Amino acid sequence: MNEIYYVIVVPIFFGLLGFLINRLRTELDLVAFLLTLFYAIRIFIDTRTQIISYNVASFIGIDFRFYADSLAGFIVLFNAIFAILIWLYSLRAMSKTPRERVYYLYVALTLSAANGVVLSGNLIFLLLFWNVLVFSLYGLLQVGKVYSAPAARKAITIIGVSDYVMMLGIVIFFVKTGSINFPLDTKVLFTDVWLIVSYLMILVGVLAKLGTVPMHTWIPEAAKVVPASTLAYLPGSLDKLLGFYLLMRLSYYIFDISKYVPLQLTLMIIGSITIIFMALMALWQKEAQRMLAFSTVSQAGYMLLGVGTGIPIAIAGALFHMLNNVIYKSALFLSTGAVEYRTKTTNLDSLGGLGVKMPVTLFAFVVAALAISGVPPLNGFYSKWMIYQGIIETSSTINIWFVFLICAMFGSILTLAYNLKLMHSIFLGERPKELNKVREARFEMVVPALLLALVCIVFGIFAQAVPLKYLILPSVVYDIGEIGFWSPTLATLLIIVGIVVGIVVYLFGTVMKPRRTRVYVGGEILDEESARITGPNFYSSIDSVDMLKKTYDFGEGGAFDFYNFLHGAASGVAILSRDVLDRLITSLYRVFGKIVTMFGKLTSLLHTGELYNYVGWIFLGGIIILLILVF
Amino acid sequence: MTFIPLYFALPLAAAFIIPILGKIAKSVVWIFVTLVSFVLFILALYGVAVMQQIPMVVYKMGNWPPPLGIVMAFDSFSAFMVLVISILVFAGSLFSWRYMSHYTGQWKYYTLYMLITAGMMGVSITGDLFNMFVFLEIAAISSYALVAFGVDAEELEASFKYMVMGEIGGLTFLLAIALLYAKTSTLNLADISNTLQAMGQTPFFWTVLGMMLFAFSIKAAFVPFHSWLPDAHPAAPAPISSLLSGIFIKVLGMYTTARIVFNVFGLSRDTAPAFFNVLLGIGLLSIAFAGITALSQRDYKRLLGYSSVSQVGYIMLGFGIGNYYGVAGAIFYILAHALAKGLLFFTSGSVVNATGTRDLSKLAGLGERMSTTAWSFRIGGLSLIGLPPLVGFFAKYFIILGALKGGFLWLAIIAIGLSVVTLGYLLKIENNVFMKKGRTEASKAPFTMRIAMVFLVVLIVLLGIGFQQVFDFVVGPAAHALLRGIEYANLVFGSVAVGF
Repeated sequence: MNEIYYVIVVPIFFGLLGFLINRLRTELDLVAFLLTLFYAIRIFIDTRTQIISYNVASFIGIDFRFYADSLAGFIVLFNAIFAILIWLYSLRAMSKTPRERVYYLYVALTLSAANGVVLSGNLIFLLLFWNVLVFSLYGLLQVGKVYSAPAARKAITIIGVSDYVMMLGIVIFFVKTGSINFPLDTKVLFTDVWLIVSYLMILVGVLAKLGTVPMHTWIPEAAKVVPASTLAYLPGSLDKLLGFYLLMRLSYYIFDISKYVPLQLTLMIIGSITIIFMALMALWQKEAQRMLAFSTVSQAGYMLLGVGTGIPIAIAGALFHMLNNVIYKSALFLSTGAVEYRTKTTNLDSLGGLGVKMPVTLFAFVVAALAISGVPPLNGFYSKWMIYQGIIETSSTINIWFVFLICAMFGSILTLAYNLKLMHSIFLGERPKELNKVREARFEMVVPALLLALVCIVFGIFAQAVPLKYLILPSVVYDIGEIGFWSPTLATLLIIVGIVVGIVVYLFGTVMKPRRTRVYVGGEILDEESARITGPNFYSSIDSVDMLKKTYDFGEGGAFDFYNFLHGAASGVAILSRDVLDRLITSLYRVFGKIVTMFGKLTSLLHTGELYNYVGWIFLGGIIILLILVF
Repeated sequence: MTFIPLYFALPLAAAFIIPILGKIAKSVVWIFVTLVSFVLFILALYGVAVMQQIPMVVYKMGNWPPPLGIVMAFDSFSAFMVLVISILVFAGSLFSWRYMSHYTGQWKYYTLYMLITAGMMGVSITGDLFNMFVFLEIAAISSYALVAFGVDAEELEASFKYMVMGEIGGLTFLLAIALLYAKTSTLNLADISNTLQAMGQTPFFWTVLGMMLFAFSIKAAFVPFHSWLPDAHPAAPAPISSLLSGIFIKVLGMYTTARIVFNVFGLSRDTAPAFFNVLLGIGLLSIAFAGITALSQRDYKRLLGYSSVSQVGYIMLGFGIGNYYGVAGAIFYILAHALAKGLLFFTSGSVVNATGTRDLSKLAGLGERMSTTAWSFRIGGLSLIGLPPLVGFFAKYFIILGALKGGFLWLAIIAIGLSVVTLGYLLKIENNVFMKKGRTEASKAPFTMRIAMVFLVVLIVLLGIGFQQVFDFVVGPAAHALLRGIEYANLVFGSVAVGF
């Protein structure tokens, strides 16, 4: 049973040791992560067959205890796996950066706290680890590529406020039910309006961790200034794992929302909005990491949608999607990080044509991008498929189920669109001259992304045989029944046939090779560089001008006009979202701050510094006290 | 011979030896004061240990029996206060060495330092009302002088204001004592308690209590009696600010209130809900009003001063809740706030010592240069906000627990909600002084100052981790001693003194 202690204590202990003994840091960190992985695997195996639960301390009627069931075991395992991958990648990417030492300490601390959150069997205990995570997130965001304090501040403001709300929610829960241990003997039903309030308040903290609308704004902000590894580690993987974990615990182990439609609707609506809006925002971006950050937020919407349905297959699908999402999103972050390591930029305008130079990275990227877009037979398709099926099954209780289905599918299309943009802008298209000397990234940086991409393929093709059978289904307590008519293995065969046909067609030469010709502009000779068409150019033309006219102009451009149209809509929504939604939220913070400051100014005015004034206050107070007490 | 008189006799004697030592050599004075503070600390630990076995030690001065002579009644609550006082006095004396080195007349400073210590110790252990007044005035008058120690115009003005307001409190207390004496013909706390119980809750009873609450509220700086504190703190030398905020206002304001209300007047939430609601009101008003005012301050120490006013509100909240967890939480909060605020004032002193300014807008980027100071600030601040597992969290936790058990759900919500304000004003300092880009000219804090800060940091972390032990051995018994109520009198009359 000591594994639970170890997965929490080992990372931070060795991390701290490594921090202090800088010379041996890499070795100590290796020990830390490997040991944690070892114990996490043991917890995972143990929790397949039994539930581990024991008290650490009992104090004033509250049991501080650890609790690990199959879901917790699953999450702990992937916490450990992702930590080790990120660490491996960071070895090269973060080496020789000024705050390297602190960075590794925070990575270890984050892993410890994340395991603590998952393994605690008591809400107060959980909150304690949750707060440590806030601290370590703040610390990690401080270690930026450039000056990142404002982004860190924004993050801690948003997360801190939502944590306070969550804390209040837990207090209300405690008062109403008299217990903060979980799981309870019987699930709490929404019999009291306070219980609904409590659920919603805790949900705020969960959503902030998952990064859904409207608590997402810090993620794109941070994406501009922190390294790819931090992004992949926190908003990319661990935050998703933990947020999803608590969402599941809250919705199906502590409460049971499957019998309460309004809350299901709340989750599904937030999920749908998140999917669509954030995907549109992503489409509009010109900076790779920022785009991926929005994409991360958008994908969280699917998980909410899946959990919100209350249908077992969709819940399992959401869990699967969460797992898939952390896999391919980490792969995307890491491969763009590899590109950045070589080219020193993530701006799509100055990238292009790197596919030939970095084939392995390209491969990892393409697989992950297709997986995230839900292209069969990769894993992303399978999990979305399960969620779709769940949404359809809600038709008996939720009248507007088809709206959610449309949102989910449309979001999938948008995802494909922005991933194509990303792929085209970085790896295809024309290569700027200065990138001609770029080589494939270092071995240590390529391997994690490549591994993750391979996992995407395996999890897709053998979805039922491997991940669902061993990972997902044992981790949800429900019997999910039949999964619709989808046979990944057969589909794969068909797709391979399709690809072979495509190659044959290509080889027999009906597809033209690009024609190179000189551009004449009134006698002046343009150099090739200034005539280069960057990736985002294909997508940007409609940003400023009339959407319809442009769509018409590009009408002959084949498939692109669709994207342009979409892109116009996207930019519209993005501007709306930036100017209205984002700013509204920001100004809400500001207005609140202003009111408090104004009040503070007012109270400062009362402090005139004049003695008779102060003495007056004193006597006023004294008289009031006497009046109240004597009469 | 028992150990009890030593608590105030030792610093009092030291105060009179220091002028002589000061004539001989400057550095000897500091070593002497640090030594005395350390001995006090050990004695305080011993006191806490003794309190594990017996409920109260009574020392009769000149062996006169209680109602006639003056007694010292040392119970768990006194032991707790003595311990907190000695921790801060010890840390403050470490900090003073380099901080005071550019002042002249250091021996005067140390004399006053020992006098204020003697005064606070005396208030915490005395069992006699008039004796309490005397010690209270010893501490108060020393503090007036210490606030004015720099003798700049600003400091003298602050000290004068503080003195006028403080004396309004002191004299009201004296008046209340006179009224009580006229009615009960005794000054012994235990005896007064017995007499008052016989009299019942007459208007006279409430008038005297109201006057005392008024007097102590000025000393403890609750809103609206607080206006001396934000002026006095920036003026005083940093170790004195730390002592004033950390423990002085709590001994003179909170300890006295709690002792008189619970043990002498014998009130409890069940018998006098209205009175306890007044306490709650004062607490809430202080938390909200001073907290929000702190947000708009531009002076490092002034901001911390307002923060103190806001934080003592939480302590009053705990006493006002009045059940076991509320009172225990308040007592725990006295400890937590003493450590955290003492530490924060040390960091302010360290910054002022290095840069010569307290203006937040002029300071920038000290986080890297003065890393010990910056981290001390962060840990102290986090403890003040209530981040587990630091000691501040558990203090707040018990108050909230008390509120919930007492049926004040709204109070718990407000108390947690207002923590955001605490976060707000502390982040203001963090952002301006330690994180803002740019660099104020500064050197590292001297060694002894860093030792003093690290000492408190270690205590904050250790006591937080070992909160169970703190609660079982120190805080819990102190809360029991208070909630014992009028049993106090029986103990004073029945107990025997133990040998040293």
